[in-house]
Amino acid sequence: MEDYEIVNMYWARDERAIEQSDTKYGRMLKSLSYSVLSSWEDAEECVNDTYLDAWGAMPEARPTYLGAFLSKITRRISIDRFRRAHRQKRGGFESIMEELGDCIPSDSSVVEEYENGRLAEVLNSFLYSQEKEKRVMFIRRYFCSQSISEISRGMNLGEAKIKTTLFRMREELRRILEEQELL
Amino acid sequence: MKHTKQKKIEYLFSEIGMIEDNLVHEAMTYLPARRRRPALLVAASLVLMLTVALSAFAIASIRNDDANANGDIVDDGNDMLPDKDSEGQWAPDTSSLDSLLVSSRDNASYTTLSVGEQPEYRDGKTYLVWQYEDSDELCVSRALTSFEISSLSGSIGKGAEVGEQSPSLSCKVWILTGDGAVISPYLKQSSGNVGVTVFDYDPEIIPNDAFVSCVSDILES
Repeated sequence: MEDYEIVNMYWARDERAIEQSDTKYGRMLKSLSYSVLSSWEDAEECVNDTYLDAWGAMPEARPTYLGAFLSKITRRISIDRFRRAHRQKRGGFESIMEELGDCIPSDSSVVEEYENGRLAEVLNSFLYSQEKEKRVMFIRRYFCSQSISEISRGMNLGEAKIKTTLFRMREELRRILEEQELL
Repeated sequence: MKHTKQKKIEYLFSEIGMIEDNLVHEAMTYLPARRRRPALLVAASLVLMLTVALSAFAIASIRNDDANANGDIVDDGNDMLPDKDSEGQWAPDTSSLDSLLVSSRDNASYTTLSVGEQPEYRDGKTYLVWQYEDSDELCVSRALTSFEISSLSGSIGKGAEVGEQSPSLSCKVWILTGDGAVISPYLKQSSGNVGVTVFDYDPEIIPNDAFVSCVSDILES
């Protein structure tokens, strides 16, 4: 079923919308949530909460890309749950957070308040300035929380190349954040 | 409120979740371009396919004698090609692989994978995989029989070359050989046209009627 057909079901308050969403995107959403939480049981709950959120967001929202829309909800719910549980995942999610530490300017002064929405704009701009392959790599690692080996298999690239490319992208992002005086 | 480095990292991680939907969609649906595989692996894959084809050809030669008894099928003597019907016409009526897959979309027997889900590349079985241009999902046939593999092997790579302008196709099609190799019937047989996952491509040849006929049988069974 196409995305627009499922979205129409949400708008029509047809409960089959959730079943269709799960058929098309359930496995991907669970994988994304598992990458953060390291528990399939918790991931399943987050995905169920995702559908509830999506049900509440539509009508009003009419996403073009339903998978992306649902992924963002799942990611947010999973991160919130991770923070509440204060769990530490070894070698997976924790390593992703450590990598992102490279993007924080080293001499950044203490920031009192974050400029609302500006960082997201800078991130979009940064990603659009990248080649498609690099952009996909970055998003799969830091949005989808995929492991290096998963990215390697999915993109048909060596792990070393992925690690090197991501390292250089983090360095570039850090320079941009320094110039923009963000973080 | 003062923000420590850890808080900033968490904030950055959260804000990554606010990137534009089309960027997320692009990443979720990205297919890698074909990559050159080491020559030895390519040679091994092709030898495997040839071995299976020759074995199945031997079996098919024995089985094919039954068709004449009922008088429904005329044996043209070439077991690597589908038989002609009683009026001497190639079956099926669908003249192209693309048209066949489009027309079979609602009634053929296949599995649809979730977006982002990958098929089995190394389970020792051969599959036909395709993707409709208006969908991000992969469609996977059941595992092919030895006879079907030999039929496809006999006609793959033998289609007419496309002209300067690539045809507009509704489907991308691949064959997974089960040992990690992925090829496409729309590409010439060469080491540069073998991948390890499904990949994007520009068609170089159009699969011939024999190939289409084999696929039709697979989809109907």
